Amino acid sequence: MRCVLIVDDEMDIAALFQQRFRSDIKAGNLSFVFAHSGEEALACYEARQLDIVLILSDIAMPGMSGLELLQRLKTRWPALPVVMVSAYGADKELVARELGADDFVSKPIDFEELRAMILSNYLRSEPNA
Amino acid sequence: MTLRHRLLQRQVRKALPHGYDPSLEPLLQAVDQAYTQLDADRALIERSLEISSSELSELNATLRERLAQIQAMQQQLVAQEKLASLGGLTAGIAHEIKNPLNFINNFADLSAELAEELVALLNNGDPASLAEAAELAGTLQGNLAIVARHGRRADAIVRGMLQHARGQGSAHQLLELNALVEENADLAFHGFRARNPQIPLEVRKQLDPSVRQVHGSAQDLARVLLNVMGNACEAAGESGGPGVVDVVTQDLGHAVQVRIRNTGSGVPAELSERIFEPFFTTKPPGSGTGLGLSISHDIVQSHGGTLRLTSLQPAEFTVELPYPAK
Repeated sequence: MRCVLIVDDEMDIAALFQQRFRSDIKAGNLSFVFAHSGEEALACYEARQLDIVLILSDIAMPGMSGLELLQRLKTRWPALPVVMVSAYGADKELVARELGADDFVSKPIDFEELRAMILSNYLRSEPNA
Repeated sequence: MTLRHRLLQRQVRKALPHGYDPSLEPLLQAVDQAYTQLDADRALIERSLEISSSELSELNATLRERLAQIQAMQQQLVAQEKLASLGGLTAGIAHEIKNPLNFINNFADLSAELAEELVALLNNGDPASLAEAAELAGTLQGNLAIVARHGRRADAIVRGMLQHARGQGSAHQLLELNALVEENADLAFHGFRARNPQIPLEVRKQLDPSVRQVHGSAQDLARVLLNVMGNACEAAGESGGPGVVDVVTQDLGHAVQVRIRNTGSGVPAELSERIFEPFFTTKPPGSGTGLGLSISHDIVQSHGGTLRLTSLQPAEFTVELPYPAK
């Protein structure tokens, strides 16, 4: 099943996404997996046990920042879609796009908008070889 | 006799009542001129003095006015600085609070949706629906707990900010610092052990008996000690332990010194300048407001003392509090 990796240091993010996307999850359209740090996210993607087709990451995190994670992901897997999430404004967006982010979402997240974006990204991309 | 000067006329009449030889006339005229000139000079000097004197008092008045203006400006600057610092705090608060508020709003909305679905399932009434309904009820309970948790988190952030802005108002008295250190070391230790019963931790106290009393607020200093020692316990136990916290008090003659060291991984050099900043924290969100060290630092400073990071590795904090003046 195609999977979206969510990276955020807040523990309750998992419950939030699982409930917001409960119909899609139930219908088998997609599933979610969660990492609470940049390091965890890299380990999770490297393990490749799940078919991760998109990574959605917060920018402000203790330890490895979201932007550093973005850089590392894009360096090793340039074709992997990575979308950044942030409460900060336009200047972070600029940096994120310069580092190769495929898109940028600001907090508080508009889940309807995010669903539309995820479904279109997800439909577009092929599972990474 | 054609002397002009009255005083000279009187003096001459007194000294030479029966008149005088005409040969004295040139001398007397010369003296007359001299007297008259002296009078004129004196009048000039007096007038100058008057002018200087009135100029001086004018200048005085102006200076007093300027001083009042400067003092008013100074008060304004202090007030503005407080506002600016408060503004900075407010901006920090606003940012910090966004996260918990976001969760509260999301989970409240989700719960409303789920509640509707729950009602529909209950109306269906068949076993499968009822089973799903039970599951939903569980999710709802979880959501409410999440909402409550983030509500408390937001509350803690605001409270922390208010305490920081309010400054300290507790009454000052003479305190036995060793007793305060010991009490709060024990509190920190037991607090840590209660939260982490499986992590071995030791708090070693070395209290100098010649430490004298300091003047201060027991409540505020206790808070500082508990904060710093609590942090030390957490750091010492971070990698699962066993950890050791060393607390040493020492009489410095003019002040008392409290050193708190822990066997944790230490403070990275690049963070060392920021640790006393309000809201700066290396802990994950939800555990603490990041205001502890900042408030502690302010409290110690308001007691005329210092709180410093005196070693990066091992991490060591040092509090110095001056003895009251004799």
